[in-house]
Amino acid sequence: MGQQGDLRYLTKKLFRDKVLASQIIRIIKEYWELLRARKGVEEVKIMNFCGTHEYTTTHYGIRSVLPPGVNLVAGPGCPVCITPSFYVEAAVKLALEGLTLYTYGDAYKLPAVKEIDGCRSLSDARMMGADVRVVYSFLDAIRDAAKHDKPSVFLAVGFETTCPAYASGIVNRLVPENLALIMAGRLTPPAARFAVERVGAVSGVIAPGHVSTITGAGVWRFLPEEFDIPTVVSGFEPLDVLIAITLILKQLLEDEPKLVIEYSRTVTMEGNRHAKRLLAEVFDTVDAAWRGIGFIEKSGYALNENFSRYDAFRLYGIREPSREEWRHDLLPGCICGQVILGAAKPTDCRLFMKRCTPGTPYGPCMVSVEGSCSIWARMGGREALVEVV
Amino acid sequence: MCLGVYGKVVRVEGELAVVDFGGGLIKDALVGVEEVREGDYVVVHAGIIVSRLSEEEFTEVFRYVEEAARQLAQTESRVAEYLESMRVRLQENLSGQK
Amino acid sequence: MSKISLAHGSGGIETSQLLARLILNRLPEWMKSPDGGLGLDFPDDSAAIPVGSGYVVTTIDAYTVSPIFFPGGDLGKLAAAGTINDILMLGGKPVAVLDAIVIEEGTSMDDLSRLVGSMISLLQEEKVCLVGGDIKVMPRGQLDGILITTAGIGVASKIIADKNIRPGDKIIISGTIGEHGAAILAAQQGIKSDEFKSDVSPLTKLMLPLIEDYAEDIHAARDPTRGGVAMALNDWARGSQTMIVMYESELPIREPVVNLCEMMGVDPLNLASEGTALLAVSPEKAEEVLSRMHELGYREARIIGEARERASSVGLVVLKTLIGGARILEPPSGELVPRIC
Repeated sequence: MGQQGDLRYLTKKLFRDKVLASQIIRIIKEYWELLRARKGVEEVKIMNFCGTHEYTTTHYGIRSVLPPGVNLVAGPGCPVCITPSFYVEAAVKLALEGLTLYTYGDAYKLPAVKEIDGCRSLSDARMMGADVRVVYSFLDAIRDAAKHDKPSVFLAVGFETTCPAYASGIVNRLVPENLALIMAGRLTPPAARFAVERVGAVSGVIAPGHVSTITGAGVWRFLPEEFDIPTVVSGFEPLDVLIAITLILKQLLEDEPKLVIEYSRTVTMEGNRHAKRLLAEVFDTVDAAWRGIGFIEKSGYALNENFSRYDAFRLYGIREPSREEWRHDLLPGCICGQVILGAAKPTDCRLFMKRCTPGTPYGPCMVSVEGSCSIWARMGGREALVEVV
Repeated sequence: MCLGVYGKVVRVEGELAVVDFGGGLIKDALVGVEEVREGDYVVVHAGIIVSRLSEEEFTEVFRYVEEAARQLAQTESRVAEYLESMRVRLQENLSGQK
Repeated sequence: MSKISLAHGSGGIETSQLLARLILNRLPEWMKSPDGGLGLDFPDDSAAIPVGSGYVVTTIDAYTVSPIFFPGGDLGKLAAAGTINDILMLGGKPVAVLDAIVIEEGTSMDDLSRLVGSMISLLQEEKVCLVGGDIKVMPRGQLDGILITTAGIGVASKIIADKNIRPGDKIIISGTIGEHGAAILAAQQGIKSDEFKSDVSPLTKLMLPLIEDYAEDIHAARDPTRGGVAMALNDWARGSQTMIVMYESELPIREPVVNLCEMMGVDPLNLASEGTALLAVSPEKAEEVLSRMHELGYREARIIGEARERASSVGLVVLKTLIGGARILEPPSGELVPRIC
């Protein structure tokens, strides 16, 4: 078991402690009662922008212990779900042409809207004999690609947390000559702004902890300052999320929306300077498409001119669709766009658990384990559970 | 997004660091932070160290909770007991370490 | 496009669906099981055919694993132990095994000999006969390595059919969760650690005494292999018309396994065990069975949940979480692959 002073062990002990949790839940209930009594509030809608927060919420059954008026909704927080179909189609095409294709497990299952030679995803392509390899990290792909000289491509999805690995591999000259990237990285704050502008009625935001380790918590200031939304940068243990909820309710009660770092054990206001330098050195920030949502200004990472030799699109003559050419890329009937923006619940979709299941995903939110639909499918909503608790 | 795992740096080799994820679970990772030393606790995401963990800040977050409970205690007296039991619980968890 | 994918073989929902479509739905009821026996009419570890005053218990499984040699065992040991355990879980005493080995052209003779050697020595230790078999060789590239199929035969005076689970029954697990799956995952991900070792082993020393003394009190027994504890419990909940409630705080999962799972983003409850038994025991005898398990050397054994009556949500497995919340424990689905988010 744990060793003395081991922070990993202490995290699990402290931030998953049942007694502490029950005390914090009681505080949440007290705050909720005060909000109702003093302000006549009927519903509080707290949005997260991180699939891992959604995972923590469902994995620990946090919804089942909250008062009925306190609702947690998932915003655009899964880098896999929001990857436009175009990138998947391009990757499938290259794989079928005989290139070695690397990616993470979640992107491996992501379906495209269009079928390429009967394949809708990289896992389909592998079934048809293409060389598709699932890796844990970009570093593992670098090492594997260095062992052979086959032309290879990495489907590089991810937010601010994931993209420094690509930049570091490139800047440190670790990437072998036969490995190029389909760069599909995205930035979170522009999407958060987009979501709160369009969806409205968000009472509070739980901001993504690991994205903030890179960007710094400061990037979320616009939420309280421009939109009066209480914002808490939170960690990923159940108590982190419960404490974040407490802090949001408290701000609502005091009518004092501000930015608070709950995840202070690893997040600062300014963030990770080294990683930010790497990102700036390798990528340009460009207008970019989000699946089911459309173009969002300055929300994408693209390899800049100095590193264009790592650009798989340039290397293999693939042109990205422009803003004008971009089309709605969801399959008929799929409401993932609204689910991603937190405007609809997975159970509002008529395909949920019928046509679209974790084993046979139809929409992008069912593909990633972190997608809202997949999480709801596996962990269930609130109703069935309250009785057991 | 962004699954992050806590690890302890075993050694640093240039742009790579060997990280112990607990119980002898060892894997190396890219160093994505300015400075990292042997013995540092770090957050690793998909094979890159994205930040360090600060020991001083570790239990700081529970101050918020204590403060919240204290505030409520002024209006709702039964909340005082939360505060006390929380203080005891924190102490138990922390002393279990020593 | 309708083709077979790896998800169909992962032991989760897709495997059940494929099985239903390919076989179960095509069989008339009488074909699924002989009168008074147990067969494809209920998903269980083995089948039972009534003979005389007892039963012949039989099972068949094809074994494939990558890598074929892994910490704690190899494919040969897996094939022998897996079949023995399937017989035991239905309350049978294993008597004999048959094997069919399919080998890829070009496979190393030493590797093959080692695998078969470990299969034979395990059967020998267990005093189980190897009464027949077959060997085929496939052209290079038409099979990846080696596939071993083993069929087992055992005898039972009373069988443990998992549909007999009742409200109030306590769910007991004999050891730590997900050890085999974790060892394979670590090996596949190139993780250097001595902490991971497959639990692959026959459960004879545990199960024969329990069957002998508590056949009436053990209402269900399963070794949670492919699909893990989550799949086994969902099978039970669906097949028995009870709801199963699990306590997360009671689950015996070793720290390194928890860490590995958190790192890779997989759920330990979906990882396979190959030497661990899951039992449903009547509440009156649960403590007694538990201490007997401890005496038999299974010191990690503990009660991890219970079956409850609940008409409105038949077939559900609900996990009471560490912080006092609840969530539905779904059966696993899709391929088990590491994720970043």
